[in-house]
Amino acid sequence: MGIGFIRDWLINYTEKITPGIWGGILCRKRYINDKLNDMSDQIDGVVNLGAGLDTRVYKINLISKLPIWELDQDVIINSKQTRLTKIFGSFPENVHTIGIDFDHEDVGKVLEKDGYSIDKKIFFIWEAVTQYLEEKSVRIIFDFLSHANNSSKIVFTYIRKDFLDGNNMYGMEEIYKRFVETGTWKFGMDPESWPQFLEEYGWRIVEDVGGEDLEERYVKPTGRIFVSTAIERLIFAEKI
Amino acid sequence: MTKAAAKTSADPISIVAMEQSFPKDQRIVVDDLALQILPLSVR
Repeated sequence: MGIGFIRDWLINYTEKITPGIWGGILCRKRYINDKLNDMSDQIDGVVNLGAGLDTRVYKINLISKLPIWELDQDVIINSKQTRLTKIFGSFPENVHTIGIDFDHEDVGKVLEKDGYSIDKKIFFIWEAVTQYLEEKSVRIIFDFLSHANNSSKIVFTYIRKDFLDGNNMYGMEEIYKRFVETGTWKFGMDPESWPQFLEEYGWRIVEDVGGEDLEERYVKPTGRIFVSTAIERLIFAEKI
Repeated sequence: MTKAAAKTSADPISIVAMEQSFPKDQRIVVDDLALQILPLSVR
């Protein structure tokens, strides 16, 4: 039994119970990677708020000389650092890994202790985090982001509020049961509410994209056929 | 938030790792590090 068979079975199974999740994760990763690549000559550093096991900052040569801060829970960030040190032989000197409890620690203070300063033009990444937070915690992060240098950029993901409210399932009943009914996902917003929300913090939306946009951009050229979820969207914004 | 998010932290990169078994020109994301960074238990 080859890897292709196992992979196809897994994709088909996942798509049957949660249509669009597989493609949604791939498309959002590609979108953020492309935006970071495109902006690499316009920024002084990268801050990844909730980096998880993502590898993008270790692969894009254009940012290999820039300071990079990767933040996540101790258990995730420590294991990631250990794995990368084994892979590379030593850990990249330009990357600062920071263990943080986003619910109880001040992101700005934690970053400043590790060399971050607000005079830098930063590319912020906030991928698949907002839905786990209460609105007040989302606002605390935006309070921090409101002090970012002008022309800083951010890409973040969010879940549609109509899905969280149970008004539109988008075929994602299983995800709703697993993450919303259990109270795991707490925060969502309608696309039309973001411009004013971000304006309060001095940010302007450049692009707000969802499943159909991403399929057209990234899936169609490969000749493959799968959908990207409609419940999660991405915003690319700049500090004004 | 923290424990719930930690539980799913390996899921996205697992999907990216699986994606690498497609021919390069068909991949949505090209990432040769994805499989290596996965914890052994997930691999």
